[in-house]
Amino acid sequence: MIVPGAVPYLDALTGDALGRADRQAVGLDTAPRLVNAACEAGLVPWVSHDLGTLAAIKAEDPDRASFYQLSRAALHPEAGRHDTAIVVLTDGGRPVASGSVRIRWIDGTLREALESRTLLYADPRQAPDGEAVICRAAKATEIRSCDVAVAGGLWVSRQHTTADSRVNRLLVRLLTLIATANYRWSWCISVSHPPLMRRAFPVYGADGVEAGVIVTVDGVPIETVLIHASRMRFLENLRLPAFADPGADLGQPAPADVQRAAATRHALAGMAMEGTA
Amino acid sequence: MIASASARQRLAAALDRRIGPGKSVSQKVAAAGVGRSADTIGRWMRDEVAAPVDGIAELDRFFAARGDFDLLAEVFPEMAARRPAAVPAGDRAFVISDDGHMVTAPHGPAQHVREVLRLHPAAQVDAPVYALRMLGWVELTARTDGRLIIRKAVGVSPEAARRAAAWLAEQGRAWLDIEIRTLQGEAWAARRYDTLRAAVAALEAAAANVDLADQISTSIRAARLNPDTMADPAQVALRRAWCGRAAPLDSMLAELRTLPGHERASLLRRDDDGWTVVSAGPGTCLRRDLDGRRLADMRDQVYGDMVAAQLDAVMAEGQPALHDLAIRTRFDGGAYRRLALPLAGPGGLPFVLSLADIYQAPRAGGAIG
Repeated sequence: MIVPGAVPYLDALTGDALGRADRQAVGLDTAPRLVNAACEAGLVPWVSHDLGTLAAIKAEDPDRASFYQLSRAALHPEAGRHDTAIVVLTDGGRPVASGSVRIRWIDGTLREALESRTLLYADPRQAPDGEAVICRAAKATEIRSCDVAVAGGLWVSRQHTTADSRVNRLLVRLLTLIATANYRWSWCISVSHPPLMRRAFPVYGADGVEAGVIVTVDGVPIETVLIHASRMRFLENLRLPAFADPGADLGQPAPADVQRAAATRHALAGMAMEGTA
Repeated sequence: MIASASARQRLAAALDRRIGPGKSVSQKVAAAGVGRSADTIGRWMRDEVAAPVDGIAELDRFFAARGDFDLLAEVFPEMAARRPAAVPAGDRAFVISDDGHMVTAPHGPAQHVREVLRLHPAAQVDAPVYALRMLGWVELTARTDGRLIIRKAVGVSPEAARRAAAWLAEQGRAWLDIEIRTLQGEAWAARRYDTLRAAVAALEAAAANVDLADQISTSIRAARLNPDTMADPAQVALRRAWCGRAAPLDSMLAELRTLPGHERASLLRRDDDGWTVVSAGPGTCLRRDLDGRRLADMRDQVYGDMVAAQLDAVMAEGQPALHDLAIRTRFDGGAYRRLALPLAGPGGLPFVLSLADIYQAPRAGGAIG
């Protein structure tokens, strides 16, 4: 099937939200390398700004695409190029992976936005009566009054999950790249299932992950986790050589991290010596 | 007919990128250009029917004549990878990279960009546009018919724009007609220059503008309203009093300063160099220091061109016009309604009195009106 409303990935990348040096680096190296990695895996990356794209992919096969509140066109008629990017990977014209990012302004804290449902619903009255969110994550009270990039709805076909686990990383890198290059926001967050915590640092390149976001559906509590990253973290990630290599992990200690840890160790050792003397 | 479903999809996507509102051509123009009906083009765009081979060849010729040589490569990327697409015989293409290095692109800008980026043959991209937008490059096509077409994006690299200006100043006399096309968001703004000096100045201005990205619009929405719907009664009275009047400049300016809402008013003069701001009140659009400046020299060329076209239309019609504009820049935005009144100035020169009826640019100094 054709990916409705989608354009080739590089055609959608504007770099509008990047400074000149980052735009050059992304344009000359990072983005072409990621697209080449997709092509070498027999995949073609696309971008759409229309939530109808996800609906069309899912309509073809219910096992395809992943929906959550922010990716449903019926709940978000306002979604468009200014606040929505959907990355789709196709294999022989068939979608095999997709993910989306939505830019949302929050007036108060992230916790309030989650609990009031204003983060996930354009109109909170659309939230089902039996659905509620209790947010105890401390970070959610720090994030306030800013544009938040909400990433979610990641889906990779079973065939590609088992045959090539790099497809998931490729999808996340492509999504991260377009979210950071095309849009301005302060924090990127995702509310995920606890097993995905292990991906937070090496795959998503996050700053942190925190338990304490409980979603109740018809009174049944479901424990989820808040994965978060500052814009600065994502910009630093884009500058890592590993970012353009879907086989490589993010979140590995940089030489500067090792030096800082060594300096801390020496400083504390020195204080201990002084104390002894 | 194209037998391959994926090639049909690529054709549909390639046409969708080029044809439609805000894109390089309308469906009607494309249909006329290739000698088919608009419905036929629409069906190819929606992948409802397969396009015949001669239809694709017509489309390729049509877009190539507009400086876009990539259609075939996008529909048949494998073929393009095997045999580089050349620019039309006799035409010459040049590419200036962000560091100001200028090279010829004998196989066309698309092939050159793909080689520099070391793109996989199957990677799909409108390569020249990608280089203009993401890398700040400049592309020049010198045609055998004496036309020189220069393409750049709003965020052009200053070094590339300066190199293009220097090259043009040195070589430009060879061209009968110079056109500069500027990509802004998804839309192209094309401007033809009758004089070499004006074209060089435009490129030099582009080089100087890059660091002022916060003043350059990324999207413009413009609509025309009925002037009778204005909110401010004082401005309605002003419109009645000033429309169509002829007066010496000094008395115009003196009277202007006594009028209600004069802080939101600008007086503009039209001459052979285009529109020049004679006097701008402190409450006018984006509070820029505009007195004595030509619209053609504005930092935001696309915006300046649009305003100039609107004012030309006002003069041609001889009637007041109320324009509703919303502008987004990379970091900010604003919205305003502008009443334009046609006047006859000294020596019969066309003048326009422009008044901001409602002006909202919260981060640029609060809301007025």
